[in-house]
Amino acid sequence: MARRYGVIGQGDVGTDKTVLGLVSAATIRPKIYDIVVGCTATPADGASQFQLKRFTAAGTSTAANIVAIDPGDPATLASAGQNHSSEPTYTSNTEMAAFSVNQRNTFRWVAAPGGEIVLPATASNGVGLKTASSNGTTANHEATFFFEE
Amino acid sequence: MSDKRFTASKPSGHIIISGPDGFLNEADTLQCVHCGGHWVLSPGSGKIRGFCGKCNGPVCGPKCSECVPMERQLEIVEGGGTWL
Repeated sequence: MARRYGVIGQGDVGTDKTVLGLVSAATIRPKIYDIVVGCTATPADGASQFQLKRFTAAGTSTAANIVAIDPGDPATLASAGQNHSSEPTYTSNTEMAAFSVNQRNTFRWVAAPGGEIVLPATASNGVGLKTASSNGTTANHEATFFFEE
Repeated sequence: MSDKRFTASKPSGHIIISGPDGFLNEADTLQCVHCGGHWVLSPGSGKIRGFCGKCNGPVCGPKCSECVPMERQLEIVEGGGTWL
């Protein structure tokens, strides 16, 4: 059975703002099977359009701590970034999912077995959860990825 | 109270949106056999979807109409190519 990990990231929403990015490595293919998104600020009646999209360069971000779900597992080979100061280089037409969420709501997506989002075994490549647009205040949001590798 | 209306016989994923008043929306998602993307079933949306007879699975739209299976696309990127 593949090793499973969880990672939490935060970031402000806005136009083309990444909340959390998962970066692959040359020897593994991480597979995201669970995503949870919610607002950490005092929620206003505003909504954000989220996109899960592939990138080829990870940008500049604060490292997000990846935790093994089984404490006996080794450290992950993948890495993750949050609160980006420089956005990843996204590839056009690679939206893996898109959804709009009001700040008052919590969104969760879970893959059925075999429906995971697969990242290529290529360094610096990955998948980021970003807001394509946002109305209302630019509230801080938090995202959680569960993935296996 | 869930208002799950549209379901798939073989869903690739599932979404739940909850808010201060409890469950707001619940839906199945399907996965494109070519790009790996997910979308929520939305009959009547007008969006063009498809089905690949070679891969025996749903396709997300015209941009994925050419049959390049997900595994092949991953191999292309891992070989230094770009996403199709």
